[in-house]
Amino acid sequence: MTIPRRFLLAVLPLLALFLISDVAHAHGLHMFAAREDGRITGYVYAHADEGIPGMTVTARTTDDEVLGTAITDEGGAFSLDIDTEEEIRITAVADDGHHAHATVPALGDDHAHAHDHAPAPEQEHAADDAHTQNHSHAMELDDMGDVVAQRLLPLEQRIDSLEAKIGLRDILGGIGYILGLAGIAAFLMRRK
Amino acid sequence: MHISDGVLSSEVLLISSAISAGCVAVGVARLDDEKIPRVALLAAVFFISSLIRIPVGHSSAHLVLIGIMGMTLGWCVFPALAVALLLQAALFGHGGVVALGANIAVIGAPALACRGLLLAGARFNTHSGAIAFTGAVCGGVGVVLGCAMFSLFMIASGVEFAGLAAIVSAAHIPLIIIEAIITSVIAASLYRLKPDALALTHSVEIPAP
Repeated sequence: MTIPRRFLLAVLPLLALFLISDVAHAHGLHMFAAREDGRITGYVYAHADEGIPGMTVTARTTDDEVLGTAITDEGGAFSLDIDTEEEIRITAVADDGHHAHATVPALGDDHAHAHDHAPAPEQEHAADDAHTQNHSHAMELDDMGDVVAQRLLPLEQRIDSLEAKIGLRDILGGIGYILGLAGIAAFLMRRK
Repeated sequence: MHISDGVLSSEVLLISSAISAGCVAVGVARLDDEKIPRVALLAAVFFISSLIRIPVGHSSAHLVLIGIMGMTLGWCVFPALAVALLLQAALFGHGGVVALGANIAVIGAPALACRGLLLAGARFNTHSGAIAFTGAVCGGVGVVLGCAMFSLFMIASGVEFAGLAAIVSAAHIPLIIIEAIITSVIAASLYRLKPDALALTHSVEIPAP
């Protein structure tokens, strides 16, 4: 039995295209990122708790200056050694061009104000003590802020995952839309 | 098989959207009282099917049901896909709204080809076993053609597939088998229980080559 040449000419290019296609990460991608101990850590996922490995993660400033790059690990997690207080924009790109974005906001400037506060000249001595107290107070607040941020991190990650999760409400809502549209179409057909 | 926004070039988006809009218009023109419930039912099934995932290594594939959609709906598959894909993009984040036209083309064109396969097969043999076999072929071919369309759009947009030669993905093989089985069973059941659902004698339904 011989295979017709025209059949091969039609099938082989299609087969080649099929073989190079990649279904990985073909769906909605999400990213979580946060500051942690002078680093930016996070993970990329397609569905809740399903990390995507091998994605190229790039961190940029608001001026589009590249601060660093990383590759997600087996669980979709990444870590970037970036110690800046500026806003950071992070992009993760998959092999097939799908991408996810996240923005890490700039750190609040309360702490900076505490350091920048200048005392009046006539109160210099008293102010020196006050400044020292303010400084140590600011340091304590800073440490407390770090501790609170670390404690809240898993909670933020969980909230982010839950927001990305597809719920029964979405499914039923979609079916409702379809049935509603079908009803409208049937109504219009009847009127004709 | 869903394409997200920001992946395809503007030329590919425009051309695919224009073609899809035309196909949707043809599909809407062919809708009638009898077809609307069938179109709505299959649109709803397609809408949900993307949630049925088949884990493959680090990644996952999901049911697309291209074969059964095309076999039963013909040109009317396009309005069904337009609604279902729009809702998938809006509610699930699967695919993009701007890339809706491209996604309709990626799935709709193979579905239409499956309709052609069914009609061609029915010319030779209309035994339920033959319909089941044609259903299996349509289920598998639908996925293969869908992947081919996906890759074609990506390449036409200049998307760099990292390690193009290395990506000889076997991810779709399980999906092809599962789709072939599901489509075969559904086609055979429909042919036995409700043969008019396949509209094998409907002369208007012959798809474009």
